[in-house]
Amino acid sequence: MKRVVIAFAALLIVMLAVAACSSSTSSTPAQAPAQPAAQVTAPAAQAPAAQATAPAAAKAAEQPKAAAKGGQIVEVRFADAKTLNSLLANDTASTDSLALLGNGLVWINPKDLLPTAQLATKWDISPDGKTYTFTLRDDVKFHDGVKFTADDVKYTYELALDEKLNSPRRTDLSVIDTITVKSPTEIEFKLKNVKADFLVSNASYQILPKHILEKMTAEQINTADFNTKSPVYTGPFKFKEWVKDDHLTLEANPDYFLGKPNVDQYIFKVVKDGNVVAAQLKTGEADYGQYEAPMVAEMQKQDNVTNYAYDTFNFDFYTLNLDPARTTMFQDKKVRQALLYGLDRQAMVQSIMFGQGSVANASEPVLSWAYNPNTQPQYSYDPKKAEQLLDEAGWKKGADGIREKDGKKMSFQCWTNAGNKVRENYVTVMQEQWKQIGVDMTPKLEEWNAFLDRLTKTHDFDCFLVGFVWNVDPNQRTMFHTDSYKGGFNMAKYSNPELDKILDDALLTTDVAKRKELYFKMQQIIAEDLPVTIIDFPKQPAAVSKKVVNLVPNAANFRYEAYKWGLTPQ
Amino acid sequence: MQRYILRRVLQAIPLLIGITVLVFALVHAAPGSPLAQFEFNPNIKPEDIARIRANLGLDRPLYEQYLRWVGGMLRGDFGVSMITGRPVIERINERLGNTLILSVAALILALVVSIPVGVYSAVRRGKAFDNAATVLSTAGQAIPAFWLGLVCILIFAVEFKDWGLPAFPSGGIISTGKPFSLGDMLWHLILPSFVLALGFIAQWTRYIRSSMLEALGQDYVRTAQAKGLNDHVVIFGHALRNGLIPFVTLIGLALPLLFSGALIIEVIFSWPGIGRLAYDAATERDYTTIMGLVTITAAIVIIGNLVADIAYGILDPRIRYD
Repeated sequence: MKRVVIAFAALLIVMLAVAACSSSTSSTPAQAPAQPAAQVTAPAAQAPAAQATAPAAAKAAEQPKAAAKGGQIVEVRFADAKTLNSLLANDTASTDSLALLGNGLVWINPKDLLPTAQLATKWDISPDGKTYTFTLRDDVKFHDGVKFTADDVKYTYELALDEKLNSPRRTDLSVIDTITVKSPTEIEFKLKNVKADFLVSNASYQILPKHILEKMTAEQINTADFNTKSPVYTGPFKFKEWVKDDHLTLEANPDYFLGKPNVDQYIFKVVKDGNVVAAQLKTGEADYGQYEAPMVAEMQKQDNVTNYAYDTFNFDFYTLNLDPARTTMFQDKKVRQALLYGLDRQAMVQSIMFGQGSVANASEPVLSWAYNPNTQPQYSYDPKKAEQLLDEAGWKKGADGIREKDGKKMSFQCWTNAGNKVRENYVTVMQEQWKQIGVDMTPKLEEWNAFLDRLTKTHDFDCFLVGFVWNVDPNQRTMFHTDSYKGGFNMAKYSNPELDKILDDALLTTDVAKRKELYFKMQQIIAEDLPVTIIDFPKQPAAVSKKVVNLVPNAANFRYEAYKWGLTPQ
Repeated sequence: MQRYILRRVLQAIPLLIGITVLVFALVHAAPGSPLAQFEFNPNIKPEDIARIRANLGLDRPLYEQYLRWVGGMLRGDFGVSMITGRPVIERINERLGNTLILSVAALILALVVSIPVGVYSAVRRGKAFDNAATVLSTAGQAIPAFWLGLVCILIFAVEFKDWGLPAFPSGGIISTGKPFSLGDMLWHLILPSFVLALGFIAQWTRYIRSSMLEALGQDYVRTAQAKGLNDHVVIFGHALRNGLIPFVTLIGLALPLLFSGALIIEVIFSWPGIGRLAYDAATERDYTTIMGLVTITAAIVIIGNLVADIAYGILDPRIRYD
C-alpha cells in the first residue's frame, strides 16, 4: 500500500509540477494566450479612401500563379485547434482552421488591411454611423448543400449574444441593438452607439448554419458534436477528419462560391517541439509552418523552402508600477526615460530575437495604420543621457555604485513569465544594462497563471515584462486609460486626463484620418511619459515549400484566397 | 487468496476517494483557472469571463463542485472538458490506445534487452562484456530522452533523407494524409519506442545484474552447483527466478507509465498520447480533464500494484497471502 501512495505522490507531483516547468519539455515559447489571428480588426471600413499603410502586406499583392489541380498541403503547427465553433473559438489554431472552413460577412484583404466582401457583397452605413445594411450573396451553400440566407446571419449573431453560450465575444457584440432580416439577401444591424471598428472587429465571424443548430439551446451548443465532429460552414474547405492533437484534415469544397480550391486536401498537423517543426519542413513532411527565431539561420540553408519573416501585431513591453501606494521610485518620468535610454534594444533584438524583430518607436503595432514610426524621442541607446537624467531626478550613486535618493536605493524586482526564452533573456540583459547606470534590478520568473494574477489582480510588482498580441484596430484604451486600471490592462495605474480624452474621442469617430491623428497624438504622449515601455516588434519566421504556390504568410489574414493555394504544376 | 484480493479492493476505495479529494483541492489551489485562456486578451472583457465562469459552475462553492463531480462520476459521467467542451472520457479514450501502443512496445523492447544483458553481465562479472554494459547503461541513464530523441530525428529522419537512405518519419503515428496501415504504423513506432525503452533498459540492466549477483551467491545456488547441475539450469532455473523477484517491483512501478504516457517522447515524436493530454490539461487548468485522468490512472495503478503483489506469490512460493 505504501508503494501505491508513493506512486501517487509522484503522479500528482508530476501532474501539477508540469505546469510550473513548461520550458523543460518543449522549446515552444510560452506566449500570452493567442488572439484570433484570422478575425482581425482593421481601419474603419466606411472610409475606403483612407490610405492604409501596410508595408508587410505588400508581398501578398503578387499575381496568383497557375497551380496544379489536386494534391494536398500539410501545415505544421505547435498547437491543435480546440473547437471549430466560430463563436467559441479563441485560440489561433482554432481561428486559423475556421478561416478555411467558413466565411464571415466581410474579412480583411491583406493587401490593404481594409475589409473586403465575403458573404456580403456590399454594405451601406447610415450617416449617423449606427445602421449597417449588408447585401448578401445569393449563390452560397453550406457544406451540406443547404442554401445560405440572411436568417443564418441573424441566427449566428443572436446566438453570440446568448448569455448561456460560452463565447468571450458577447460584451464586444453587445453594441448591437437590433438585427432585422429585410429579405433573404439583405440584413440590417442597428447599433446602440458608434463603434469605429464594428465592421472589421465584429462582422468577420464565420456564419453558422441555422438549420443545424437551431434545435439546440445555447447551453447544448457549448458541448455539441458540431464543434468538434461535424462542423458545417460555407468556406472553401469542408471538414473531413480530426484526430485530436495529431491532425485535422479538410477537403476541398467543390461548390465553393469562388471556385473549387486547387488542392484536394489541406491538413493541419500538430508538432509540439520547435526542432521537430524545423525538421519536418526540411524533410518535406510538412509544406508550410511557422517556426522559431533560433531556427532561422538553419532554415535559410534549406533550398526546398521559401523563408519568410513577416511583421506581426505583437509587441513586448515592460511596465513600471506608478501607483504611489506601492512605490514612488518611478513617479518621476525622468527615471522612466533614463531606464529606456539605458537599454541597447537594437542589440537585444539582434542577439535574443536573432534579428527577427525591430525596435519599437511607438506604442501601436508596426503593422497598424496608426503606427507613427517618427514618434519622438526615439530613445536610442545612450547610457550617458540615462545617467544624466537619473542625476537630475535626484538619484545619486552611492558607495556600492547603486543609486539612492532620500536614503532609498534604486533596487527592485522585475517579473516575467517563466518558459518564455525571449523574455527570460530580456530581463537578464536589462539587469546587466541597468546595473551599468547604477540601477539594481533582480529578474524574477514565475509560472504564467501566477504571473497573471500578480499583474492584474494583486498588482504586487515594481516592474514586469510581458507581451501582447494586438488587434489590427489601434484602439489602446485598455492599456492607457485611467478607467482601465480596473477591468483593463492599465496595470501601471497610469492616469493622464489629456490622454483619456484622446482615447475616448478616437472611438467616437469613424473617420480614419481623424483617428489616425488622435492616435499619433496618443503615441507622442506615451513616448514622452512612458507609462509602459514597448521594447520591440517581433517578426514571425515561416517557411513554405517550393512545391506550393500562392500561399504567402502574413499576420493580417493569410487564409485570404486559400482556394487559390496549390501545388506547382509538374 | 480471494480474501486477500477482496481486502485489497476494499482498501482501494478510501484510497481513491482520498486521491480525488486531494487532487481536486490541489488543482483548485493552483493559480489560474480554465478561464485563463481568456485572460490577458485586450478584446475580452471581465464581464465575459465572469459570465463564462458562472456558466461552467466555477462560481459555486468548492464542496458543491466536488460533490457534483463525484455524483457524475459514480454514474459513469466524467463530465466535459472545460476548454473544448468535449466529454472527458472521450478525450482519454482516444489517447489511451496510442499511449499503450508506444509504451507496450517500449516495455517489451526493454525486457527483451535488459534481462539477457543483465543476466550475462552478472554471470561474466568483471569481464569485458560486463564492463561495456556498465558503461553503456550508465550513459543510457545519463542521456536525456529529449536530446536523444532529437538526435535520432536529426540522423534517421533528416540526414538519412539527405543521404538518400530510407528515412524514418520524424513523428506522428501514421503518414499524414494516408490511410492507416500496420506496416506504416510500425515504421513510425521504431524511433519513439527505442528512445523510450532506452531509459528502462539502462536502469533495469543494472537492477537485474545486481539482483542476479545476489542470487548467484545464495546457498541454494551453491548447492545446485555442487550437485553438478549444468550452468544453464543453475542460472536460469534457480538464480534467475529468484533474482527477478525484486525486479517485479520495478515493473510494477513502471506500470503507471504504461498508461500515463511518456510526455517528453510524445512531444518530441508528435505522438498524441495521454502524457500530452495530461500536460495540456494541467497547463490549461482543465479541471474536469485533470480529475478524470487522475481518477482513471489511480484505478489502473492500484490494479497494477495488486497484480505485482500477486506475481510475487507466483514467483516466490515462500510468500503467503492472508
